[in-house]
Amino acid sequence: MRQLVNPKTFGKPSIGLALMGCTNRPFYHICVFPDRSLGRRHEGNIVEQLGTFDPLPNVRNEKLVSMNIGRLKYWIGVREAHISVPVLELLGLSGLFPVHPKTYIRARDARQSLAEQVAALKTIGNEGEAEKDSETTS
Amino acid sequence: MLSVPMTLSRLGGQVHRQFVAARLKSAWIKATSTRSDSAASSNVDVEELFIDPRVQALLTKLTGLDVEGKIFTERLVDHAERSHFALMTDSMLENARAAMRERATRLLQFVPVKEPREETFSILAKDPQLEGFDSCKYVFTDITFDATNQDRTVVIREPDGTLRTALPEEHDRMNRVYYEQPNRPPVAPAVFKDPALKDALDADRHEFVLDFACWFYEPDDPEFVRLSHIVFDRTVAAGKFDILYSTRHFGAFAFYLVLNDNIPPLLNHYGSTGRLSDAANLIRLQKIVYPNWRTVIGFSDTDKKIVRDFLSQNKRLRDKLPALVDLLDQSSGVKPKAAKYQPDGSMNKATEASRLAKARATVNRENLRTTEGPLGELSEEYPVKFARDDKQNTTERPAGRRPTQKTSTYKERLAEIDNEKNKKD
Repeated sequence: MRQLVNPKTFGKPSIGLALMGCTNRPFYHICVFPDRSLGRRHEGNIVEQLGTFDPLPNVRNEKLVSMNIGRLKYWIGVREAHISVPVLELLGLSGLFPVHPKTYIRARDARQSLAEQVAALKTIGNEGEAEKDSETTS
Repeated sequence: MLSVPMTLSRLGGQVHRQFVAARLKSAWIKATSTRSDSAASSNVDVEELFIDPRVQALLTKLTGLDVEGKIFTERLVDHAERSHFALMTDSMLENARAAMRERATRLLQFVPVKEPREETFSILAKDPQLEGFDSCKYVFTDITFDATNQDRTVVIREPDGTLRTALPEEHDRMNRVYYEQPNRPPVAPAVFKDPALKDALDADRHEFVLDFACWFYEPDDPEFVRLSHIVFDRTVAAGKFDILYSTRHFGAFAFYLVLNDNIPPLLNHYGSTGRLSDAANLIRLQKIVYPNWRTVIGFSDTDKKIVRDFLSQNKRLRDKLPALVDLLDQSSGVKPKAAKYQPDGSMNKATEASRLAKARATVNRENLRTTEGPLGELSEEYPVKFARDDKQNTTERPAGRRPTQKTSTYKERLAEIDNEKNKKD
C-alpha cells in the first residue's frame, strides 16, 4: 500500500532536539529537520543546527542553552517550521514565546510532590515524638 | 559617606542594589584615598579625563619608550624563531631603528580605563506559577551570528520562575563558553587570585599578570578593574615601578595613582633614579586631574621649577620624598666650601651624603673632651687624646684652596712605627 502522508506536516521543516553525546552523558542540539514523513530524526538528517541544550547542570547548578535567535526567526517566521514540545518549552522558558502549559503542569506536580514529601516527613516526626512521649510517660 | 542599603531578593543570595553611594561615583577612586571625601572627586569623570589629549600626552611621556631593553627584549614564544643578520649602511640602520620605534609605540597603546559595569540585574518577568519546574537555573545565550560580545543577550530563568538579565560575570562567562579563544577558559585562571597572584607578583611577573588579564577580561569588567587595582597597589607597596615602566599598563597605573592622590612613592622613585622631567610631568598630570589642587603649578614652567614649587608648597610631604629633595639639590648645583676633591671632578652621592653629614656634625675640638661630646659620660672616666690636631689645618690653609692630606709612603710609615716604639721604650 502507498505510504500515506500527513497533510498537516507535509513540506514543513521541524525544529527539535537531537540527542548526541555519549553513554551517561546526554547532550542535545536544537536542529532543523526536514519533513517528518521523510523519516525519523537522525544525525544525517539535519538541515541546520540552531543551538544546544545541556541537560546536565554544571558546577554553578546551571543548565546552559544556546539559541541562534536570528535563524530561529527565519525558520519559524518565513518557513513556518513545526516546533517540537521540548523546544517550545525551552523557548517559553527563555522568554521568546509564552511559557508552555507542560512547564506549568510539571511545576505544579513538582510542588505537589514536594508538599507531600514534607507532609510525610512531618508525620514521621510527629509519630516519633508521640512514641517518645508515650515512652517517657509509661 | 552614605551607606548603601541593600535588599535581598529571594533569588539564591543575589543582591539587587537599589541605591548608589552619592559621593563615590567612580570605582577608580578608592574609599581609602584622601580624595574620596572631597567634593572634587564626585565631579571627576574618569573616562572623559583619561581620553583628554593633554592627559594622554603626559601619560605617553611618563610611559617612556625603552625599545631594545624592554619592548623588543627576549621573550618566550611557542615557536622557534631565527635571528636575522643584515649588513647595513648607517642610514639603513637608522631607518630600521625608526621602524622599530614606530612599532614599539603601537605596542604601547594604553589599556583603556573604564568604569566597571554595574553588578546588578534587571527582572524581565515574574512567574510564581513556574516555581519548582526544575531545581536548576536555565541560562539562555543568544548565539546570533552578527552579535558582538558586548551586544549578546544572556538571560537566566531562576527555579522560582523569575526571568532576569545576567550579571557581568555570568555574561562574560557565557561568551567564553560559546566563543572559545586560546587561553580563555570559562572559569578564571588561578593566577588572578591569591595565593597564585602573590607568588606571581613576588616573582616580578606583574606585566604577565596584567597582560593575561587584558586578554581574558573585558576592560569594563568589574573583576578586571579590581584585579588591576590590587596589582597596582602591590606594585606601589613594593616599590617595583620599573617593572611597569615602558609597558602598556603604565598609563593606567600612573592615572590610578594620580586619581587617588598617591604620587609621593612614584615621585620618590623618580628622584632616586634622577628623572626630574618625569616627576614634573606627574605633578602636571595631577594638576590637570584636580585643577582645584592646593598647589599652584604653571604648566609652562621648567621641570625644575615645578618640582621645587611642589616641594615648597607641600612641606608635609618632604619627609616622604628624600630622594627627590636630594635630586633637586644636586641639579641646582649646591656646592659646599670644604668639598672633598674628586679626581674626575664629579660628586657622587656617597661623597655628597658624607659631606652633608660632616657639615651637620656636632663634634668639634671644644666639646670632644666634655660630657656634651660624642663620648658623653665616658669622657670623665677616660682621658681623651687627640690623635691629630685640627687646629693646624684650619689656621694654616688659606680660604678657597683645596685641603691637602699627607699620605706617607711605605718606608716613611715603617719609620713612624719605629719612632713610636722607641718613644714607648
